[in-house]
Amino acid sequence: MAELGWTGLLIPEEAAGLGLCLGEVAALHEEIGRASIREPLVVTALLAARAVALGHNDRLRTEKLPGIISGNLTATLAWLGESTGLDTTNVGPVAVRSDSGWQISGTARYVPLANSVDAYIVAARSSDGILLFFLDDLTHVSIDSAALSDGTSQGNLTFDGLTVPPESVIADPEHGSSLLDDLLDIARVAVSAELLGNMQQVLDMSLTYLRQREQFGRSIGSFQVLQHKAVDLYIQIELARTALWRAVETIEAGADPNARAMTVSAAKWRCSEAGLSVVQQGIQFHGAIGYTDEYDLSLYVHRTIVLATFLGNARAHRARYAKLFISSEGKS
Amino acid sequence: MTEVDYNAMPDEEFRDMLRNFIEKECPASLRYQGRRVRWKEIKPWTLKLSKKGWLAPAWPVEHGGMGLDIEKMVAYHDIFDSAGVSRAPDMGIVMIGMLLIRFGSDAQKKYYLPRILACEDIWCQGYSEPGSGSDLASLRTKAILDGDHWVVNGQKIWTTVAQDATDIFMLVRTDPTAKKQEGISFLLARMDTPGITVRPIRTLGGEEEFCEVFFDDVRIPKENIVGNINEGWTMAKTLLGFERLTIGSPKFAMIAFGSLKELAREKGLFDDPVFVNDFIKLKMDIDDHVGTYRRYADALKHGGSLGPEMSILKIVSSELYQRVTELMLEVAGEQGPHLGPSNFGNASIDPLGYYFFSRPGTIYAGSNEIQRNILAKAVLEMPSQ
Ligand SMILES: Cc1cc2nc3c(=O)[nH]c(=O)nc-3n(C[C@H](O)[C@H](O)[C@H](O)COP(=O)(O)OP(=O)(O)OC[C@H]3O[C@@H](n4cnc5c(N)ncnc54)[C@H](O)[C@@H]3O)c2cc1C
Repeated sequence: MAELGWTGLLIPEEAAGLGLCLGEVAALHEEIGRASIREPLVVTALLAARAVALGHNDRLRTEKLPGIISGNLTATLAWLGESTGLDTTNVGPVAVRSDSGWQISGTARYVPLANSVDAYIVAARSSDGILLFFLDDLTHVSIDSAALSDGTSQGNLTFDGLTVPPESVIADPEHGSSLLDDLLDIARVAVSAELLGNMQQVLDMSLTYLRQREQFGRSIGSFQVLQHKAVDLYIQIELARTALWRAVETIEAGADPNARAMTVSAAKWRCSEAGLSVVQQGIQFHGAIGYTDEYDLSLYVHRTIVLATFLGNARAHRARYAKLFISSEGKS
Repeated sequence: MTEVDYNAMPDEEFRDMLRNFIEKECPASLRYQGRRVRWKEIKPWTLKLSKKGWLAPAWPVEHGGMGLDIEKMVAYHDIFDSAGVSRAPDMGIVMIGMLLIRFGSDAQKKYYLPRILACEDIWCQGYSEPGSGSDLASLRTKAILDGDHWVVNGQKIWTTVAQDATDIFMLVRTDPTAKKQEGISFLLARMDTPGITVRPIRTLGGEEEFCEVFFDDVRIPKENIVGNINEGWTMAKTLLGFERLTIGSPKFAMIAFGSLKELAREKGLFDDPVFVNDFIKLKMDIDDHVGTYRRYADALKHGGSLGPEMSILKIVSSELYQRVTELMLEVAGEQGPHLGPSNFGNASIDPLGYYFFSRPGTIYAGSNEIQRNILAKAVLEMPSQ
C-alpha cells in the first residue's frame, strides 16, 4: 500500500502526500474493510505521518516524512494512559524540562504495532501542556506487547526517564493538545469507515448463505424470521453510513473541534455497535460453520472486534458525546 | 457403591457436602473458564468425582448414579454452576448413559455403564452432518447390514471433542425408502474402528472444540444397535427430553457473570452508574431465569411433565450468556480484543475467550430460531406458515 502512496493519504501534495480529502479517505477505508485487508494504514498514515506533516518541526518533516510515506520507516502513535479515555486529558507519558531538552517517563498503553515499528510519535503531558515527540532511539523504552484477535498486536511502552533533545519536538505545549485531538478524530473516521465496509461484507456473505443453504427442503432465507433479522442489519448499516458521512461532511466543512468531536463520536459509536451486532447475527445466520475459524466470516469477526475497540469503543464514545452535548445544550 | 440416600438429606447439608468437596478438590484452573476444557486437563478432577460416586447425579442408584430427585438435581447443578466448575466431556453421562438405561439391552448396560462411570470411555455425539443441521432427520450417513456387521459410510460434522473420544453414538440411515424420520437407527462405535477418520476444526476462539468424522466402509458389530432397527429417531427425541433441563441451566451465564463482577471490581466500575445499571439488569435477568428454571423443575417434581415450554430456558440461558460476555468484552476496554487471559488489577480474565465461547449456545442443541418455532407452534398454538 505504501507503494501506492497511500500512507500519504491526507498529506498535502507539496509534502509528497496524495492530498486526498477526508471523503476519499473514508471511501478507501470502506473498501479496505470490505476486503478485510490488514494494512495498518490508519496507524501509519493517519496517526504517524499526519502528526509529522501537521507538526511544527520542519527538519523532521523533511527528513522523516518521505520515509514514512514510502513505507521505509514505519511509525505509530503512543499516547494513552492508564484510564480508558478518548481525549487528551488521558495522555499517559509525562515530560519534564531538563538541561538537554525533555525527560520522558511514564507509560503509554495499548499502542498499536508497538513492537513492530521503527519510530514512535509520543504524546506526553508537561506542566505547560501536551507535547508530541518523534522518537526512533528506543534504548530506554520497554515494550510489553499483546496479540489481538485479528492477528495484529498492541503494547504498552514504558519510558524510564528517557532524555529527548528539543529537535525531536513535533508539537510544543501550545499546540500538542489540539494536534493530538485532530489526529485521533480523523483516524476514528477512517476506522468507522473500515467498520462500515466490514459490516457490508458480512451482510452480503450472509445473504448469499441464506439463499444457498437449504434445510427442511427450502432455502433458509425463505424463513421470515431470518429475513427480518437480515433487514434489521441492513437498517443498522444504513444508519451507520449516515453517521459516518455526517462526520466526514462536518469536518470537511471546517467544523470547530467540539462539533468535530461530537460527530466523530456519533459515527464511531454507531459503527462499533452496529459492526458487532452484524458479525454476531452473521455467525447466527451461518449456524455452526459461522463459529469456525476456517470460514471467511471469521476474518471479519476478528477484525470487527479489534476495530470496534480501537480509538474508543461504543460505550466510551457515547460518554464523550454525552459530555459534549450536556455542556453545550444541557443547560439551556 | 455408597449407600447414602441423598434425597433424604436436608437440602443445606447436601449443598454443603458438595460445596466443601469442590472447594477442597477442584483446582482453580478448572473454575471460571471462558473456554471448553479438554479431557486431559479435567480428567483428574473427574476421577475424583467418579470415586465419590458423584459423577452421574441423574442415573438411578442401581446403575451407580446418585439417583437424585429433581429437587436435589437442581441443587447439585446450582452448586457446581455457582462455583464455576468446568464441564468434563460428559456426553457419556448425560446422553448415551441415560439412553442405555432406558433403551439399552442388558448386555449393553452391563458393559458400557461401568466404563462410563470409571471414565474409561469418553463418548461423542454423531448426529449432525454437513447437509443436516436443524433438519437433522434428513441425515444421509448410511448403515447396511452385511452378515454380523453394519457397514457405515458417510460423514458427521461438529462432533464435539471427537478427537478425545473413545466411542461415538450416532444416528444413521438404515432404510432409505421410508419416511425420513422412520428410516433412522441408533448405533454405537469404537472410534478406533478401521475406516473412521477424525479431523479437528478450529473455532473462532482458536480452540479445536469440534471435528469432522468420516466413515469409510466402517464395520460395526451387529449388536451395537440401541433399541430396534429404524427406531433411532424416537429414541434421539427422548434423549433431547433428558437434556432439556441441563441445556437450559443458568450455568454459563452465572460463570461469566462471576468473571464480569471480578473485572468490574478490579477496574473500579462499580463507581460508574452507567455500568452499574447494565450490570444490575443482567443480574436481575439471571435471577429471574434461575427462578423460572426452579419453577419448572418444581413442576416436574410434583408430577408435571417436561413440556415444550422448557424451550424458554434454553433461549433465555444462551442469550443471557451472550449478553454477559458482550458487556464484559466492552468494559474490558482496550484489553477486550486481547487473545488469552490478561491482567485486570489482581485478576486474570479472558473476556475475548468468554465472548467467543458464548457464541454457539444459540446455535447448538436446537437453534434459538428452532426453539422459538417450537414455542410458537406447541405453546402459543400459532398456525403454520
Ligand atoms: C459448538 C458446537 C458444538 C456442536 N456439537 C455437536 C455434537 O457434538 N454433535 C452433533 O451431532 N452436532 C453438534 N453440533 C451441531 C449442531 O447441532 C448444529 O449446529 C445445529 O443443529 C444447527 O445446524 P447447522 O449448524 O447446520 O445450521 P443450519 O441448520 O444450517 O441453520 C442456519 C441458520 O438457519 C436457521 N434456521 C434453520 N432452520 C430454520 C427454521 N425452520 N426457521 C428459522 N430459522 C431456521 C438456524 O437457526 C440458523 O440460524 C454442534 C454445534 C456447535 C456450534
